[in-house]
Amino acid sequence: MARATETGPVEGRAWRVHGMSVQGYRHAQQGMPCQDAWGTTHTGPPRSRITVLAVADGAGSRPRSQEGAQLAIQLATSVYGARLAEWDRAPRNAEDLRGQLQDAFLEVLDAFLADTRALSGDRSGSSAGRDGPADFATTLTVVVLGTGWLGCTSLGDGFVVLRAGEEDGEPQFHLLPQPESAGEYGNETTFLSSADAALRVGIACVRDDGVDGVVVSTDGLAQAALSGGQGPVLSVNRSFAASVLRSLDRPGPDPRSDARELRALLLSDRLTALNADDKTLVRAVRTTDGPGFGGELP
Amino acid sequence: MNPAIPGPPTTQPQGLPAAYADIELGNNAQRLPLLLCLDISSSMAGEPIRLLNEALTLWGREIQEDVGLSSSVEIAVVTFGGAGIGVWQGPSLLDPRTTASPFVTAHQFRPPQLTASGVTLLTEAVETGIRLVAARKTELRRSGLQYYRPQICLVTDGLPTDSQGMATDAWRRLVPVLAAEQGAKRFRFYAFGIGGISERGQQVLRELAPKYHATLKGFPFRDLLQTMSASASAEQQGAEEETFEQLFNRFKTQRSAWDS
Repeated sequence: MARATETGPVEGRAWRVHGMSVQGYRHAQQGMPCQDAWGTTHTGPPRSRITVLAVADGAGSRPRSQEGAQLAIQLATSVYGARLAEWDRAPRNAEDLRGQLQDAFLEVLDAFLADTRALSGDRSGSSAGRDGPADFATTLTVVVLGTGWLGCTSLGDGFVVLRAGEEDGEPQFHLLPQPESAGEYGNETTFLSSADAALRVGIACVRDDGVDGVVVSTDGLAQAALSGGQGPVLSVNRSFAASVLRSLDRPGPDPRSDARELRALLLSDRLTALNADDKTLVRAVRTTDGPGFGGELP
Repeated sequence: MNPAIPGPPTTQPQGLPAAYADIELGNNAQRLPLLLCLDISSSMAGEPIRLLNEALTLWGREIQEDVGLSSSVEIAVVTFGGAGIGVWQGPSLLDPRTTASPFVTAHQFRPPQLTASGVTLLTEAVETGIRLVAARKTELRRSGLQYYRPQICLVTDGLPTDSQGMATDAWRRLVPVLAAEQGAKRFRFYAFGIGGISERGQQVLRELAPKYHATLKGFPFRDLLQTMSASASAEQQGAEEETFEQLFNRFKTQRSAWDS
């Protein structure tokens, strides 16, 4: 049976964060582990805390992609966290932020390649028959949330949805630009181990005081969270984004029950029918009432 | 989008948890077109066509019950035999002049009831299949739906003929086309020889599908169709080529066991 493999709360000063990865139907059928991973960290001085969100999707076809996804998350949270901790000011402009994000991504990429080469050698004693970093293939999407600004680096087919502004009293949702698809088919994407990873990473910078909700996900939720089938341009399925952020805006009295409900959503047949892959959902909402508002999620 | 295919209601997936009951979901599932190119010429009359119809019915039910495939796999059937080339949208034979796509999602699929007669227009059937797959990919792109690499599965017990039933070498024109299309990863092409297919018939399949051809004793349609489901699952997971080879080699292993 499918199960949740990781869940956890983090309450930042300005952002409430909750994430979860669940094993997909196909992996459950085959007794394979969940190859998605997620992570978060908070950094920076108290008055200008920066939150880092990261999701990774290990390639189903590669033997050690679960390790790859977990390594990518570990590296992303530590590298982005350490770099952003040194900031004593908001980015001057988009180019300033873009440069910082690119440097952080390249540091993660270099570390990932070095670590996976080492892991390959450690395990086999020889590289014969092994593909080194390719055996650990994983996508990586990282979002950094500052005060009034955010940035994103995305390699592969993860995606990011923002909630910002209202129209006729209804919150508006926006899909951050995604990197160009790596091929014709939906299961072709770019991994950290891909030769052109450094060139294919997508970087997005947003300056908007109105962003008060963020959803970061691997492609397992793309068909539920994004509206296809209406034309070639993807847009946000607002009912999905609104619902998963609302439950974090207004948590119920029992945090464990809230987490169970989210897990049930991610494991539901309705979502599995759209995509049988592992699923990861990381959501963050801006809090105004300080830590503890509405209780914490487990 | 495909028109709805009439038929009995299918089992709907369970609902969403109460906290998320207001989420609206269409069928945006990433699609996997699967085209069955089936020989229904006169040599298939009797037990073989009965077994084929039975296997299509059972497989149709199985694939509907696989929640990972039922909304993703799209099935079309092209037959060769009878009055020529038949293109089926579920149980309905399409008018040759129609522009409607024959592909229906697996949860809507109802098999046609096939009868055997006529000649073996294999070449034209495969060409029709290639054209239909390309058209479906164009439709999916225009709709904004992502898709996996399509699969075309050819099943025959005979030699390609012309419309007069005379053996023909016209199939040779398929060889470079199939090689180029597969080289460009436009689809996967599987070729199965069944029943009492002759050595010459087997040679045709070997040339059409150098990597993915097999000769099966008898008419193990169900096993063959289940392999198409397994291949679809592997495609969804982005499996490497060796996974597809292993799936296919199973047939060759079975044949050896039977032969021995």
